[in-house]
Amino acid sequence: MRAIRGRRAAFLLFAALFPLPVAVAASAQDIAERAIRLDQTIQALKDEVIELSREAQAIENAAIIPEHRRLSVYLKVAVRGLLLEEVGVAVDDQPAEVYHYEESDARALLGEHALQRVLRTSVEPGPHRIRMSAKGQYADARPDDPPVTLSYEAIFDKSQREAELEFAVTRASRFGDELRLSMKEWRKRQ
Amino acid sequence: MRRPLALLLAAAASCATAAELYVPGTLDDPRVRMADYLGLHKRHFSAVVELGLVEGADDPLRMPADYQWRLADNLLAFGMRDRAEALYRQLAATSTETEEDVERIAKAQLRIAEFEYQRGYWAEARATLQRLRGSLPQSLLADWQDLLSRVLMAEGRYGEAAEILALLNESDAESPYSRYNFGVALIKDGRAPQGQTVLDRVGRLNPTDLEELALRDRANLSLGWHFLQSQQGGTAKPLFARVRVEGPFSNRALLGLGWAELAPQGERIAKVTVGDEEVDPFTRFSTLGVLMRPGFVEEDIFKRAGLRAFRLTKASKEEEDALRKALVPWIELISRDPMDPAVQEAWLAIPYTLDRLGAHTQALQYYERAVEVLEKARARMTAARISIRQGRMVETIVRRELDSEAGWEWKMLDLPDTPETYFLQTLLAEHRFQEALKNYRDLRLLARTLDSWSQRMDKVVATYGREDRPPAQPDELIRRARDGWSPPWQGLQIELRAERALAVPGAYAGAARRPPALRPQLRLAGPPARFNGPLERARTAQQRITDLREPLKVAAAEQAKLLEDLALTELVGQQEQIERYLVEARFALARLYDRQRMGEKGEMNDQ
Repeated sequence: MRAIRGRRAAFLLFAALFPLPVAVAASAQDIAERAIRLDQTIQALKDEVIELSREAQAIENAAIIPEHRRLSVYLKVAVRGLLLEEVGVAVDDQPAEVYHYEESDARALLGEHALQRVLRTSVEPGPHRIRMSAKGQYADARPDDPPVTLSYEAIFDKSQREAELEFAVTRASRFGDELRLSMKEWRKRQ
Repeated sequence: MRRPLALLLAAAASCATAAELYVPGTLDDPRVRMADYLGLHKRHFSAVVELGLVEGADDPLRMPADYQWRLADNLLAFGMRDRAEALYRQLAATSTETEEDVERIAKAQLRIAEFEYQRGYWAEARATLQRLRGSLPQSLLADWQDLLSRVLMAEGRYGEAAEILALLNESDAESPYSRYNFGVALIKDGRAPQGQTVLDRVGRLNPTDLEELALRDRANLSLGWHFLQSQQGGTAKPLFARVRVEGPFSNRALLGLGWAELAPQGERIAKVTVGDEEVDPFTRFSTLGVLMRPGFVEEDIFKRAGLRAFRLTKASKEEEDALRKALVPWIELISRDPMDPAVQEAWLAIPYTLDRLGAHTQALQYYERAVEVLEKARARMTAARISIRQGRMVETIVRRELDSEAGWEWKMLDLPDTPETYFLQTLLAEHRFQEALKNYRDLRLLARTLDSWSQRMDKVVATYGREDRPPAQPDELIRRARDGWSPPWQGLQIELRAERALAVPGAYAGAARRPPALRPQLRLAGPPARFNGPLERARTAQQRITDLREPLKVAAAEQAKLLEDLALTELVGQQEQIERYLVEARFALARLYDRQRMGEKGEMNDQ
């Protein structure tokens, strides 16, 4: 008889009712010690791979999308229950980059502070046109309800620093159903 | 491009406003919020890397609290307890004493302890929980008690666990699960009567969902076997009868129900009233109780099993009744999956009972069928061992969500269709296997990450080696470097005041005393001994990738071996049991054949 708990108990309810024989239990002890030693090793390896990934990402950014040409476009959804299906972002005359959502990432985007980077690309300093379109549906929508579609187009001036644009899907007014897409630019304080 | 855009600037329906400033690492920082999104999407590895790219991330302990919280949460979720704990400790040391902060830190410590418990660091989990006790908010007391009791039970400290659970038992926050654990802890601690009462309460609860239904079955099964082992067959029977006909515990309950008929009935145990009895919940489900009430069985169970009428020669009337009653659940049981040890035992129990009833020919036939069933089970067990050594089950599980970065939060949602799956159902549900599996998955993810970075670093190096790469433009580089740069003396306030001790300019007639003119020896500096640009850093990264491959490979092989050993150890007990049953069945067969051959008087009298 072993300790079990809450919702995790669904699987654990299958757990054995009777103790293992002594010989097997001794072997289980050895396995438990090995498991802990390995867990320590794996934690250290994770640390190293994370550090390597951080460095490699910084190198790639510097080499392929240097900061003075870097454009990062983020998206936030601040409308409860709105699950995006796809988002398209186009800069100047380039074809739109389209991102398709699974339910899991559409839900993740509904987090209070969550912001998704939907595009990172290279553009010359100077003015540029950007267009964003989004399509989605409310989680409780009926199958025959029309999808929610939004679009936004703006000009932004790219400086010698990374441009960070945030698009936000919000309600147009506090009590209305109408939605809107807006944009603002962020800049790191030097 | 510029001209049309200039026109567009004037005509665009909407234009960007001035940029808003953010401090790196705060909640305004898009990278921090991106990490939030990644964390909610269970991409904890990516979230940690994203946070690592925030300016100033080289020293996370100096970053804003919002940054540290996100980093710590994602590190722990990715199974990196040690780094997460250091951050939580820092957050605890620097946090304000607001109720919200205290609760958040306590929750984080509980999560650390849960991680330690699940990964087998029981002593550490206990220490974490003991440290937390002093600053624990009342709202988290029940969670704390629940977790501490599970840790203590894992360590075999049932007495202490029972004390903790007794406190929980007195509160309103007790769940049926902790009540079950309370009952188990009491019995294991030698306080059987109290434990029996608590388990009996769980066994009579009115379930609200399937999990509680399974918990109730488990409580009844555990208590039933407890009484059976204590020679209290009469008390065990109604407990087994409460278990559902179809459920994860029904086979063992059917087996127990049969043995309860044959076991000493024991003295009647007075039921303890605990004051929260509800209406009989067993009227809503089909439980094994129907097997004790013949009218509820669809057809004659003896007829279904192919048993003909037999005449008892050896047993008393009372014993005959018990033997006949024991056959009822067992005959039902042998119609089920023969891979289940309970079913295998029933295959032996039936001919044993028939032999006791004097139905020797039928006993012989059943023993022969039992040998067939057990031989098949043994063959499947052998196939399972081979499959385990090939790592098929683990590989199938891992391949299903190859790119999941969920780490510690990953959950196995279904079971793979492999020969060993059936035998390992119990193990698959246990923390020791699940946590080892998560680590193995993570190692595979890390290896694939290295593969990906290897290709991408090759591309970076190739970019710098291209002949058509435009030459560097130093003036442009200097202009960019100066963009946003301000001289260190900018904004310096210079205060002017009159100097009265000095002569009026031009009025001094003495010889000018000047230091000799400084003539520094200037020469052209050589190139830097070591330049560390993207190309050089990419080459260093390539080397690091190569260096990391081997330890990752070794760790993955060791982790796979650990999973294999866990599975094989689990099979040992089951395989030995099958072998034991086979020996018993063959020995019984030989005995029956001997009797037949020797023509013992009175044998085969059921013909």
